[in-house]
Amino acid sequence: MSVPTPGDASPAARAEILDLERMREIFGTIDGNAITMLRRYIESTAPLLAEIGRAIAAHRAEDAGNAVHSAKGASLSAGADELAALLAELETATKAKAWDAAQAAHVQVEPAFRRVQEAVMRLGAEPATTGVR
Amino acid sequence: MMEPDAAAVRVLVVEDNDFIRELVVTMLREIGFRDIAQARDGHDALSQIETADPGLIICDISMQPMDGLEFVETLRQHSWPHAAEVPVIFLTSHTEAPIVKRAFKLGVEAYVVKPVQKKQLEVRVMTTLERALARRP
Repeated sequence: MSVPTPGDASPAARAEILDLERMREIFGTIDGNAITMLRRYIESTAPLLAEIGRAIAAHRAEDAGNAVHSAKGASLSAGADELAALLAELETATKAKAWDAAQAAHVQVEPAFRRVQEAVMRLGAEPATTGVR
Repeated sequence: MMEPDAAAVRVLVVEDNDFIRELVVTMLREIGFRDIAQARDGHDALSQIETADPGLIICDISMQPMDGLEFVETLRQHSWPHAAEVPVIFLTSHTEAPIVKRAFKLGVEAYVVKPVQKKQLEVRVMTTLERALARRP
């Protein structure tokens, strides 16, 4: 769960882990099709995050930037807003080749992705509400 | 102006992110499209352009190895009979002026800004098809 700390006004801290309105807009409700689509998001984003880690470690700015951009777009579309905000920070850092800042942002990406995975896994097991914080 | 019939138009969706491509295809089906081809990047799209024979192309800009701008540039010179006039909609988070200018020079009809929303996609797609219908002799 993402609990904003007092005074922490970063976009990632204020964002939802999973805003279900994106899927609700398409499917009308969070049914089996919406959950399947969110699982596809998880499956297709995991290898991108792995590539981001490898590219940052090797200081490959273009590869890191391409993977971050793709993962950010998918996260925004899935409603994984916290992760999308972290990826936006990471995109800025990789564009600037600010590797220390990129490393610092990247450390937060994996736990944020796990929170999305957990939120998606829970969807099959309980009635969906508006979103997950 | 004539109402376009979504069910009668074949769409080609070109997007290298598997999830976004599937999401767009799902939205298009919800809008009423039945015949949807898919490509992973510009090269893949060019390799199937004649067999897919689309009446509309929805294309991402940031793709590897061939991006959307390069794809449309190459497409406009292609020998496929509809290469010069097939309507193209860009699906992108790039709204920087030089990219927009280059896109419109290539005859790109519209932009859908990510994250893609079904209503926005529907409006852009139907407006683009209406314009394409109106241009027909």
